[in-house]
Amino acid sequence: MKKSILILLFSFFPVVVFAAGSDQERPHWSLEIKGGRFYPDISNWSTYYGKDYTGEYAGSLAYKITRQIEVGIQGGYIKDNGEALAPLHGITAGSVTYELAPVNAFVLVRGVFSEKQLLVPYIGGGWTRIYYKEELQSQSTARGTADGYHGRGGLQMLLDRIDQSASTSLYEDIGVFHTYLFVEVEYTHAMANTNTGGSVNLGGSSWLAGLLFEF
Amino acid sequence: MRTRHAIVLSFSILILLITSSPRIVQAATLTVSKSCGSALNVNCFASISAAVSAASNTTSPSIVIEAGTYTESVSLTVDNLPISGTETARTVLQSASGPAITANGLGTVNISKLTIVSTSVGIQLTGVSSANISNNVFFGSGKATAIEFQGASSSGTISNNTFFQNLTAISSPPTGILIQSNIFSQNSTALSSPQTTNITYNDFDANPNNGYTFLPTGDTNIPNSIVAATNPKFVNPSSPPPGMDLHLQQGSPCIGNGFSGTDIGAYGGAGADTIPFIISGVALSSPSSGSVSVDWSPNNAYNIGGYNVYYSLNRSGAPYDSKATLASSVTSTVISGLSEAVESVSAPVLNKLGIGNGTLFASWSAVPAATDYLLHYTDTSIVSSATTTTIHVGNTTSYALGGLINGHYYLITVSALAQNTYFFSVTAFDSTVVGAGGGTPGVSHESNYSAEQSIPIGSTVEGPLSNSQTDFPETIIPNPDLVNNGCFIATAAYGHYSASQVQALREFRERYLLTNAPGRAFVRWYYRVGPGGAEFINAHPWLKPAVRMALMPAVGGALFMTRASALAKALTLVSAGLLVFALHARKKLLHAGGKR
Repeated sequence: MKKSILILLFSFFPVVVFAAGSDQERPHWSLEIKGGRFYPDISNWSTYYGKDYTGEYAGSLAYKITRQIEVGIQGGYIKDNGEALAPLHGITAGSVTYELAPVNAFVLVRGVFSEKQLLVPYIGGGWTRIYYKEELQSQSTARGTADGYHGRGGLQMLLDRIDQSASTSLYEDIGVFHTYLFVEVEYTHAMANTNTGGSVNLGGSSWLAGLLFEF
Repeated sequence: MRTRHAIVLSFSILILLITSSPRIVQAATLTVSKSCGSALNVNCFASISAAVSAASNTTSPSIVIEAGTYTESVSLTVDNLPISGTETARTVLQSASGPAITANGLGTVNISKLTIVSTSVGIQLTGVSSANISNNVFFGSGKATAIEFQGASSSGTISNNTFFQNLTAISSPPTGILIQSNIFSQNSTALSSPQTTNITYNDFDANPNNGYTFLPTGDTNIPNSIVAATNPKFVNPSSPPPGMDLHLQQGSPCIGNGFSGTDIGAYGGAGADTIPFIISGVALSSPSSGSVSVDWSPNNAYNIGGYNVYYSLNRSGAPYDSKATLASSVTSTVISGLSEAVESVSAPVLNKLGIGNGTLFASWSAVPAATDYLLHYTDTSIVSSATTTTIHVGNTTSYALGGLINGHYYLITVSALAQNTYFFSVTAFDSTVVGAGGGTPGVSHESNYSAEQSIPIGSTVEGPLSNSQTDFPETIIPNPDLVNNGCFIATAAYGHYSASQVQALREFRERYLLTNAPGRAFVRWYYRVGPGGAEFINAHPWLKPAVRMALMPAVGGALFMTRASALAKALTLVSAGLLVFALHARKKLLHAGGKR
């Protein structure tokens, strides 16, 4: 899974940075709202949490340095409820609430060459800090942070072409230049220490979809 | 595989077609109820607007609204669509803003038996040919226009409505409208710019501006030469809807003075609902063995014929097992001969125990008539002095038994406590069904059941023990077993996880303890004892300054080790070494007899 995502990320097209006319009126900010599935990079996850993925929700705000390059921050939230291990019984038992709040600072490169381009591929990555909280019912709560990196890439589809009048209204009313529907894959790596003296990657792979507003 | 895909695809398309197609409703009567909302029940709707929308696909539709409070603005788009509540007082339509009901350009509008609450306009009729509005209550908090006519309107009746505390009761009623048997009470203006002169048998009470000129003789409207008093004597006008009760009390001038000798107002005339206002204030007590005293607030409507007290043993809700019928003058009674002895109590079935750290989680099946449960446990690891402890866990079917010793086996059983409980509800019925002992609650001539009350009587009986379950608690380990980055004691002492001193200790742990086996062993030990220490400090805040003082050398050391440069560390190490050497040399000298 991890390999396929990395191959996908780095096999993207070479982006030509200076393509679209920089002197034209263009959006300078983008706002993303997205959600999807997060596949933790933790062994035996499904044994304790019932399935090999959980829900992830995130939002990001980015500034467009050029039409193709933007920098921004992203915040997300991941939560699952599962069980722990009762080692002497050899069974899963108890109740665990596992929460992650990844915060990313990223650089994103978008293959946009025209304001009316239907499909826009993009790729990016950057620094990651994951805030974690692991609450073991009637026993203990572990809190902490883990630093690492992330990479992501995806494809944005311009919705303006589907409903031109709605697009025009969005621009006139609230200044939204373009609205995109997008899907993306993301890989996050951030190692955290465990009580056994080892460490574990709190990150993993994500499939996300959402809306992007450029304004 | 292809066949499977084809089936899935066909099914998906079918579902899409079903959900995206407008619902074709064949039944003529569409019900609106707060309990509706399921898409599978095509005749039942959660909102009036949804029912109106569905009515456009229905042959000869009508809408019946069950009791409840509906907050919405309804736009009537279907001609000749009767809309009627089942119980005027408790079928409340209120609008958050704008008119509660609007109709524009329709032929006929029929609205009845609703309580319409608005702060702008109750019903707004624009260019409607015929309007029939009857048996409604309009309450406008002194701000609203109850019925507003706009544009031409040729015929219709506004009859047997109660307009209470509106800014304007009826605005611009057109020429062809009959205004009959209505109560206009405490409105700023009763009739504004009336074009019709067909105004009969109405009660005009305490409106600063009636908008109507009374005939010198023979006027059927109140006040007139025969009936001078105008106060309609509402039962309870002070509570807001749905608690507002505008039925008439004994002595009201509106009784029998409407058209054809009927009552004036929302509860008079042939179309009025026959359901008395619901009883409130039901209270129970047990004055003696086997008896329950029931008290309630009276229904002061003039036509109340009596009360029914319904009750059941160990079962909540209608239908009830028994009822006692009482006269209208009675507002309390004692029901005797009730059973105090619990017939039988079965044993719960105890499920396999859940495991936790010092905790076993027990769950069991519910037992009929059980009021509470007892949980019994024995530490079977202590063979010599094993005693059984019983915990009264309340009326629940699960319990986390904490405070246990990890690794010890515990035997657990559960038993039910039972006590007879009687459930009571009271209704009022009108005088037309006195001989029959009441009507049908919530349907005709008898009010809906009051809010149910219950009372346990007799002694509590413990049932047999459940099956037993044995297990032991242990420390459970999450996956992943993440380190708590907080230093428990320091966090407690400094008050916050992100205090700079705590961060210094945390960095020291990361760099100097977790990187070697002895350090990791120390961290593991600390994680076992630390939380207990932190809990103690949090429970005794006065200790915090002392703990901070005690931690100062550790914090200082951690700061030095994590923040100082390598050169500073080396110099400090050399200095310390020299100091030790000097002290050692001085001691040696003194020992050899040298002078200080």
